[in-house]
Parts: sequence; structure tokens; C-alpha cells
Amino acid sequence: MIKQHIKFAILLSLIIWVSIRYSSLYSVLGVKPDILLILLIRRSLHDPRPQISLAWGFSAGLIIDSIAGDVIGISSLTYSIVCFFVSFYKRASVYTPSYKRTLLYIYSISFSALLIYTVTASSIPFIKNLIFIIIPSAVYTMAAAVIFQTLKPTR
Amino acid sequence: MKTTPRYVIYREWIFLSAAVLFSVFLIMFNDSSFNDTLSSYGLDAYSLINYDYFSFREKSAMQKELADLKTKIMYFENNSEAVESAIEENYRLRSMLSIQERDSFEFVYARIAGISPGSTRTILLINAGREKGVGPGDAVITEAGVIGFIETAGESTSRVSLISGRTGKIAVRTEINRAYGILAPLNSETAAIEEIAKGVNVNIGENIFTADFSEVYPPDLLVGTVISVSDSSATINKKILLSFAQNMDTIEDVFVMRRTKKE
Repeated sequence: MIKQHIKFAILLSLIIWVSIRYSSLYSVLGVKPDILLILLIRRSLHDPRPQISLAWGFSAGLIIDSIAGDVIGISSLTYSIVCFFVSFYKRASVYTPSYKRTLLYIYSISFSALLIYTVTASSIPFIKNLIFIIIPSAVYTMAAAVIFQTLKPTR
Repeated sequence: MKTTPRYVIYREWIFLSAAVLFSVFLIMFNDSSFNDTLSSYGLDAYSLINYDYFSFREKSAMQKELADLKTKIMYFENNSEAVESAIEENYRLRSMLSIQERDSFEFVYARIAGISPGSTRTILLINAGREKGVGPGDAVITEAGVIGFIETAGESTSRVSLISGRTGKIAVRTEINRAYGILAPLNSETAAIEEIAKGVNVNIGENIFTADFSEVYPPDLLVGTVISVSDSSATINKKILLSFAQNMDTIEDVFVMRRTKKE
């Protein structure tokens, strides 16, 4: 169990480093996918213990916020809620069919993009923010999630 | 199916509430010293894992940069005499008129060490920190113009808040009439200038500089160029749009303006 946590911590550090250092490489017209969120959702889908998922989501959010976040606390808030409810749902259902898993991704990613960018891009009018930042980011993150799911499907 | 005991569920909800409350506390007190300390530790940790692994540059690109730099040195050496005499005259006139002397600055060179991972490019990480004398509040510029200020400084990495972001509402002035306005960023390339009256003449292509009374930004740093002016708004003010002098998406290296002492 501890070995798995250590493995995930190393993977998380790597993803955080890549998303801070090299995110401009996969940015399209300034829009970037939230690959950290995808990793956290995938982990939460494997783990039916909301408390553990919450801890991972909160820690990852706090780390990324303290290094390169515009508003400290917004990612930890979002990731905590997303990871908690994904694990909560996972525990409640014995089998998660692919359409439900897709919906879970859509809800989580949309919620995350809406919450994070409403706060961090608060200087921009909301409608403009929604059209040019929130929706494109959510769509790109979902596309990235589909690619990850195709390469390494979650059970 | 195994049922989860009720006390476990209660415990989980308590943990979620604690995490949410703590995060909300951090958001509400975003400018607090606790957040600065947290960010400083985060930057120190990041500088341990961050290393420029893929920054190998081609010989031809380096030769081109060297040639450009040599040309610039020649140009500045040719003009240095004229500049020196102008500075001397400026000092003399300032002392005659008893005008307050300006701050003097040292320039600290830094390379980009990271950017905010989100779609709003509002934070940059640079590889200069307290060890080079960089501190919070120092202005950050490029060859093209001003880009932001140091928000938090770690030991060898610092966080720059860009003027195109949330904290970009700064005092600016126009080039010709020296009319003062407030910059309101719209995205990473453009911003609006507010509070300039319709009676003031502002032209397309005119440069916009930082104002004389900012506590963070030194005066007369180039911010951008006017790209559109309109008197059509229902208020007494003009609608002015400017394009930032520096494209925030293509920054590679920067200079931190470290305040030294009064001249």
C-alpha cells in the first residue's frame, strides 16, 4: 500500500514539474489542459476511499498553488472536492459503465475549470471568460482525458 | 455489497469540510504573510527539482545572438557621449529646480523557470531569488518593456505577477500629453486604459508608459502602444485599447530592477 502511495507521489511530482516547466509545449492558442486533474480523477476512480483521494487532491492542489498558482487555495479547494466525490461515487457503485465514467469526467472537469478560472481570471468579464477560457480549457482537458484513457484504460 | 459504517461517512465529511474551509481561508487571505511564506517554501522546493535539461541551443542561434549583441554595444558606445551629457544636464536642472531625485536600480538577469499551468498566463517563475538580492515588489522588464513585478521570492526562484493578469491594474501615462489613466488588462496581448477624458488627444501608435507615482513600478517604463481610440462610450472618458510592448507568450529572459539607493 505504502509502495503504491510512494509511486503515485513520484508520478504526481513529475506531472507538476512538467505542467509548470513545459506546459507551453502543449498549449494551443494559450489554452492548456489540466493534466494534474486528469491524473487525480484516474486515481480516485481506482480508490473507493474518499478520505485518501481527498488528501491527494488537497496536497496536489496546495503544492501547485504554492509554486505557480495565481490564487493560493483555489486548486486545493477544487481538487479536494472533485477527488472526494469521484471516490464517493466509486464506492457507491459496484460497476461503472463507460458512459457513466465519461459523465464523471465531464462533470469533474467542467466544475474544476469553472471554479478555478472564475477566480483566477476575475479581471475578465464572465461571459468572455466562459467563451475564451473556461469552455476551451474544459474541452481540451476532456480531449486529453480521452487520449490518456485510450492509451491506458481505467477498469 | 459491504455497507460503509455511518461513523466512517461522518468522518469523511468532516475531513472534506476541513479541507474546504482551509482552502477558502487561503483564498480569502491571499495577500497574507502566511501565503507568502507558503509560496516561498513552494518555490524553494521547486528549485530543487527544476533544472534546465532541454535548453541546448544551436551554435548558429548563439552566433546570431552574439552578432546582435555586438551591434547593440557599438550603437550604445557611439551614443554614450551624447547620453552622458544629457544626463549631466538633467541632474543640473533637477538640482536647480529642487526636484526629488529618482531611485537608482541594478538589473538582475534571469531566465524563465516555469509558467502558471492554467490557461490564464498570469504567473511566471524566474531563476533568480533572494540569493541575487531579488525581493517582493521589484519591477520585472524585458528588452521590449515592463512585464510585471516580483510577487514572492524564494532562495533561487521567484514568482512574477504579470501586468496582463489580475494584479495588472496600474497607473499609466500617455506619451504626448502625459495624461494619466489606469491600465485594465483584457488578455495576454491587450489591455484597456481607463479614466482618460475625451478632451485629451491620444493617437493610435502612441506609446504608453508607467506613471510617475507608482510605488511598485519605476516611472517611464514602456507598457505598450495604443491600437485603438474611441470617443463613443457613454461616459466622459475615452475608450483606449493598447497592445502590450512585450508579448507575454514569448518571454524567454527578463531583467529584475532591483532598487539600490537614491542617487
